[in-house]
Amino acid sequence: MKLAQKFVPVLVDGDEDKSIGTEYGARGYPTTVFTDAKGKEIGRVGGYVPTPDFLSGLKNALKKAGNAPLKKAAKDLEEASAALAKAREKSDWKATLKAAGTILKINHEGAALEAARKAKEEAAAEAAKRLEAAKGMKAEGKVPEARATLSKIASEFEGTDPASEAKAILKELDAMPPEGGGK
Amino acid sequence: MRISTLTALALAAAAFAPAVSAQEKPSAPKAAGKDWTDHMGDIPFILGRQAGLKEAEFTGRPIFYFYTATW
Repeated sequence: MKLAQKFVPVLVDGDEDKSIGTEYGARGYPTTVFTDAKGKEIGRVGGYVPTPDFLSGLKNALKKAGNAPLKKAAKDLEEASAALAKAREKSDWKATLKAAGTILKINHEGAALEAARKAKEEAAAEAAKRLEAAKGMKAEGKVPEARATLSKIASEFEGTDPASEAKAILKELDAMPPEGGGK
Repeated sequence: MRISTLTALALAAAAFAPAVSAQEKPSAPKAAGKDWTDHMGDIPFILGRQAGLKEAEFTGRPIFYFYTATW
């Protein structure tokens, strides 16, 4: 398990914020203080120590902290972040938008939220690019190609403006008389 | 042999976070014009106590404060 899944690692600049010094009696730099989620001290390592001592302090603090499970929203965020990374790796836009949507809904400031915003922007840009291409095909009379591209946009990028526009154009095309069918 | 706490932090990260990937490696926070890269090692530190407390409240995880200065 990753360290970040055991503790929230926080770097406090003693020049800017003396609260760790005053509240926990940390007198020198560096000092490592372990607390539970509510701020109660559960261990510390002061100054420069041999590595085994540091690791021992860390392990003792972990024992005292217990093995509290992640809160539901945090777990959902972790899962959605993993899903987003996987979807982006595969260039799966539908899954990208789904995972980004979950992260945006949780709305917890941090790297995951930034990644979700960026992913959504990139998906919208990709959808807009494909929509322009589909419009070009339609203008050139390549209706079957345009229809296929529009259907893909509507399905892959559901919930975005280009997807809504693609659906509207598809409706227009459906309402048109079939080629060679008119008088 | 005595080594610095920073080295110990790096070892701790290696011991507890074998799966930390390059993707998860945080960019160094540069608050108040300071670069904390050398202080962070491979640990995805949150910079500042208030931000850390918010994260702890959100996750329910305990906190690991690394109290230091760029002297």
